[in-house]
Amino acid sequence: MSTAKSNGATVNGDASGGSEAFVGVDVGGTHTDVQVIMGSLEARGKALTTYDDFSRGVLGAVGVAAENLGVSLEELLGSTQLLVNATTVVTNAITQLSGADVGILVTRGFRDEFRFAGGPRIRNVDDHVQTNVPDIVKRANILEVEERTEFSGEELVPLSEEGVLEAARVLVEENGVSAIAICFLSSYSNGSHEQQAAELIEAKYPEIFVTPSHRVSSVRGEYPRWMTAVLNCFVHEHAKGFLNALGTKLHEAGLRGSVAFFQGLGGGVSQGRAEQLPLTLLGAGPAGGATGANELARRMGHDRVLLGDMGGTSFDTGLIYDNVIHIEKDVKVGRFKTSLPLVDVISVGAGGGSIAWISERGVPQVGPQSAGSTPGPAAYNNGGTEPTVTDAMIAMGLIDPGNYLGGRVELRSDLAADALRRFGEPMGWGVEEAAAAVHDLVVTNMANAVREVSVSHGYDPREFVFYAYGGTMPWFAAEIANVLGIGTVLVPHSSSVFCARGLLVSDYVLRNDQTLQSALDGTEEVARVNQVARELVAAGEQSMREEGFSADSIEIARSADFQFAGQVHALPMPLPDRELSADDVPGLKEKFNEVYERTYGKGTAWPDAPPQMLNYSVTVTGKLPRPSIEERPLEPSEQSEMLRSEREVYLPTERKREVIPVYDETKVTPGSSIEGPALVEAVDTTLFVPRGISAERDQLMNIVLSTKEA
Amino acid sequence: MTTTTHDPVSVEIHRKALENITNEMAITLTRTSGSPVVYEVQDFATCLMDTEGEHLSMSATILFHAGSSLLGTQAVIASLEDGEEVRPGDGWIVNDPFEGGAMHQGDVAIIMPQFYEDKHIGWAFSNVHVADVGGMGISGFAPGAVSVYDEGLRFVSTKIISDGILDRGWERHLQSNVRVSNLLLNDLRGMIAANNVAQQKLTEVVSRFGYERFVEYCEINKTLSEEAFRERIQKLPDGVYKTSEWVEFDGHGEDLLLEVEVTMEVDDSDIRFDFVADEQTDAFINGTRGVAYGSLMTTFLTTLAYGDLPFNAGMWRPLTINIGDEGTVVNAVPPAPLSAAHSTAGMRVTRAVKDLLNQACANSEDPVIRGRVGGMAADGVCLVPLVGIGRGGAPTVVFFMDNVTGNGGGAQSIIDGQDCYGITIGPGVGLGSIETNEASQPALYLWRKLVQNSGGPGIHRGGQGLEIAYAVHGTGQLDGAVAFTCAEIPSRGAGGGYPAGTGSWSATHGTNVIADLEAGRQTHEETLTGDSPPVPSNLGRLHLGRGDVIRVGGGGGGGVGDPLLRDPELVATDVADEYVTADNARAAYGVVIGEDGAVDAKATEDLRAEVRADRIGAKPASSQGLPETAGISVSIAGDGHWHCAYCDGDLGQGDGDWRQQAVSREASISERLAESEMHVRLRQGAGPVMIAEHYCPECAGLLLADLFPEGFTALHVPKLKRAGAALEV
Repeated sequence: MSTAKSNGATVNGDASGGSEAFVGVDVGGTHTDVQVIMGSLEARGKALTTYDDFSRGVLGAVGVAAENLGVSLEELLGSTQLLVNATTVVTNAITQLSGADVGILVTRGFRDEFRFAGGPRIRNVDDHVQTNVPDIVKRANILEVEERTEFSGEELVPLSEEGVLEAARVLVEENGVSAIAICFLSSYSNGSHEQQAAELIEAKYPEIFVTPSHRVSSVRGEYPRWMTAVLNCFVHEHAKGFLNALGTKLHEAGLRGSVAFFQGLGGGVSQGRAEQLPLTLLGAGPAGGATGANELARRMGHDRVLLGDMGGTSFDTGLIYDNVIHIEKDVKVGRFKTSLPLVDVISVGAGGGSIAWISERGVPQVGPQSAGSTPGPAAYNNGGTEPTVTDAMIAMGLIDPGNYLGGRVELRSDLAADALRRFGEPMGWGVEEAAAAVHDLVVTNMANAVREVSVSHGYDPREFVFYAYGGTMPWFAAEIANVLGIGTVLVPHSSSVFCARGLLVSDYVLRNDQTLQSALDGTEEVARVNQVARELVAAGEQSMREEGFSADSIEIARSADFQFAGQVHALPMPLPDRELSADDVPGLKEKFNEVYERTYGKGTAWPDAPPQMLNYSVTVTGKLPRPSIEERPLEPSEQSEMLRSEREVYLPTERKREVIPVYDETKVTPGSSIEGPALVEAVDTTLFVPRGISAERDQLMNIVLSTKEA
Repeated sequence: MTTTTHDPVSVEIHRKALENITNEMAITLTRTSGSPVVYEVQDFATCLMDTEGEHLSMSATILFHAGSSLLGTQAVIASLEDGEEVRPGDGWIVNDPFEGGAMHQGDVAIIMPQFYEDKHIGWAFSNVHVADVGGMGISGFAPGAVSVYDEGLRFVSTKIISDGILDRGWERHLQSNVRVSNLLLNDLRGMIAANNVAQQKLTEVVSRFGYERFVEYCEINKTLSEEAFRERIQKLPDGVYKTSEWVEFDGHGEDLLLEVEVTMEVDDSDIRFDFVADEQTDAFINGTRGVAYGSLMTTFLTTLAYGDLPFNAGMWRPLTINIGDEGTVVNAVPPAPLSAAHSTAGMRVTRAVKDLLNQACANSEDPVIRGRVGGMAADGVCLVPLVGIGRGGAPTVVFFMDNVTGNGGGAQSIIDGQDCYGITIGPGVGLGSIETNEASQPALYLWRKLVQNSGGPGIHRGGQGLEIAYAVHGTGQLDGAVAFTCAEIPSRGAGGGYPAGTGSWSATHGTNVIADLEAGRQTHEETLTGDSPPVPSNLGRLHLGRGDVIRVGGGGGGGVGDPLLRDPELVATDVADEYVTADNARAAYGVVIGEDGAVDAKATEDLRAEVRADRIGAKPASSQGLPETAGISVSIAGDGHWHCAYCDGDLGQGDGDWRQQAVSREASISERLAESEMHVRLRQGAGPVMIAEHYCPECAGLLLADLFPEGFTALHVPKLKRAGAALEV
């Protein structure tokens, strides 16, 4: 593949100047996706991600979108009010273990916690996978300091200031670190020692990047909190380099408005804040998809949504309940446990490039190995000989080999067939049966992942709508829903770059969590909780004011984690947006019992143990301007107007060949409807509508699949 | 390759569905438990069994429950009277090691029948190491017990649940017989919840496939696992392998080492095990059938169930297990106490089977199987369950799990062993948070650190253990017991790798901790003062007052390959990282580190030559090279002779004992490892545990290090069919 290429983005409406533009940029592992909304116009662009200088790929993709809009790059940037970027730079630094030279100051007696890593054993029986967690900080750079705080927050041993300064001197002047993480026991309940140490270091070495652990999280559990601080230090150089370069290059290229960076928590932050807490940029792409989906879901009146995003290498799924995106609070980043709150996304190795193989027991499998974009599927004729999911789609005729990515990539269906034949031979299968087996397995893998995010948290997938996006998803969306018993599937407008589109409807968001462990028994305890809440809210509002938000554009959401006294795990519950009174307590405890039994089953609540509040959480949102997305008029088209061709395909679930209609996605106007079996081809994706399913385009240009009335 | 008449895709979808069910049961147990034994160490298991009591799937949390789930479910089936019908919502409690397959009484199982429509289709098994089962031991551990009647409550397949509800009478009975009964009852409820989850999911799965097909696919999946397992067994050379391990106990005065001899006979794709063991004893270390079965299967899972070999009933089929005469330390009968059987007799079986598989793998013609040799994990635990008054004034059980996780894993043929690997049985094991422990219990941690030099030296070093020290803080006293199951006989290395160091424990009374805090100081290892009386490994009664300190350290995993061949740069890194000391580098690895921290190449070369000459009393005739597979030092070659893997030297006929050709040296293991600044507890009041090092007479490479109590002579070599050895068992 060559450099940036047009993605044949769709333009809806007429190009007319003067409108303000919003640009979403999702820098992914393979592609940089761009979505632009400019007045009533929308356009998308894709380019290959450029690892030596990410801004080149970004400008390339924005350029493609500009071209599709019929304007120049300069014109587009000159009228851009806000550009929101999601980047994988932070994820890459961690997965490649390539980051800054970090130093750690830790409570004396506990430096080996970074080696223990909260218990390194992987839940797999094979002894060969039980490796040590890598020392991303040189052992010589982990220095101990005399100090001790008790669980209650009470100081037991004062901080040794000489100890801090001497350790900092060794780390900075002798060992040459560029960042220091400060990791003290019990700092979740009292961060003053960490704060004191940070101030001492910052005063002496202002050029050093310092992260005290209580600043990234005030939640009990030393290793995940400390590791969050350490990883924040580890990625600070890469992140800063990226943030600066992108901001500078975009402004040099004529960007008029500001740049915001998207966080894995599901909202943006300013460059300044992102430089202080770069780790929050982790997982931004999938979070953008979830945020966009939730915005759309609100508009559609869907309050329970399961998300499915399938691209080239993986399938990502998450959950929205009551229009709240499920947040996971102790995310594991590679082998490292953290206390970072991120949009809960489960990722499995099921994408277009996932390879099919026969296991030792003679059982067919798909993934997690992927052929990626190099060598890619066998049909790419690029050296890949292993059968992939994409090859199976080609062999079944679901992909038109002559018109893949607008004809820019030539596909060799004979090579796809050869690969599948080799795969199916030991099972006694022909090419089509082999392709159908790949289809069934990949559907199973994805459906199991969706079960993991839903059933494992106590939700029944049948009560949800399935939102399907990403370039490879629309082939499988209907069948996954069928397996899970979901009645409605929504394939959003611009589904192939939907994560980038999600970036355009996001706000600034910050979150603070504080462990306080309270049984809420009596007015004094309630007052203590309210005091903590006041501080968290005030801190959040202050941060948002610093970001330039006025009081009326700031929103507060409160929640708390509850548990039965004696448990370690806790379940989150929303709280009213006000201080608590003693009168609220019985209701909260009753509600917790409900949530608990919904999650773990009837009869599991502990009858003798009182529920207690473990952590209080405040999420502060600063409302950003956003493009208005208008409904289009209903103008249903006749089948004949939308029909592009007819093609013989192998229907995977029916195991037979049939000639079915192929519709041109750009001609499927709002109000049009299509009955399966049929294909709807866009330039960068293909939607498969199975028999018994009807597809309708709505006024927001989504395609909604539903089971036909029996 | 299997010739199939079924649809293999559907069969795999069916298997994954059952795997999902046992995983969802496990998630339910973890999230609902209030016991660190469950949420940290994940000391529980969830299984699905068919109506015959055969395994359909198991969660990979605690592996030896492969044995207790098999025998426990079969005990419930056997206890049903003729024609007795089981109903939805029925549930049985089982924790009896004699009749119910339990590892020890602390592991309590709830077993509930599963239905599809009105048809009984199988059993859900959940099992948790509960916080307490009553008796003189806390959390089921009674080092002071002399009979099983001193230990906790014992249930032999007792029906205590109807319509999904715990019987009120039994609930009251449990309440009045155990400490912190709410924890026990909540764990029982958690298990009921997990089994309910299984029922709900199973109904969905069976309806998806239809009953007939569901049952058919269960059988096909068992066969697929069986066939894959047999293919791997076929790659082990036919022959007879034998080894011995010793169960330690010193809590009743005498320092006992009880032998467990295990013979493994490989015949094509079948394996037979025969146990011959010392008589049972009046201490809590006696094992029963479930212990032998589960501990044995554990080693097969970690060594040979790599990649695509899901566990189910198919994996039992190639194995025949004869646990020998009744009344032994692996086949105990009442009144033998057995509340620590899992970590004494059980973990010795796990280690013995590792040695047997190492012998067989080393002689395999298949390179993948050869690569599966590995050092033993520490496989012993030091448990200190204590009771007292907790923060807030309520009674509490202080039972930190750090030292379960805090044991090193064995080095592997491809990598160093994992630090804090835990115990072989527990792939789900995690390390608890100090902050959580301090917030919930009256304790203040002084340190938690790696035990330097605890990993067995080798080309690949064994993983290391950790040590904790905490002071009684926030309460006046804690009382309890200590059970330490691996102090005198460390984990062995493989193929010329050295044994690891073992852990240790001590209590320090009348310390300076409180005075230090008042003076605004931390108390460190170097500054801790007080009275630390000598203690046995197992102690029935331990009393700690305010400010007293308990220290518990874990052991390491065995090394792989002769440490004289470890890359000196890796040794230097270990020294720089303070994983090993400079003296350990010198004595165990022959590596000299210069003042600048870099390897002194010349001095290292000289020292290694000196060590080799010293080993065989002469300058070696040939040079010692890296073996093809780290961990294989001696094996039978194509000529039917034993050969040294370092220099290819001939070590005699394959039907004889190659040790006769080797240069051998015997020493007390404690003294020998002390030369490398490593710790192994010296046996008290009886002959010491010995290490016999056997060197190649030509290159002086370490071929094997045997471990045994002084005076033991019955060392074995593999008897391979292809070497013409006589195969009588």
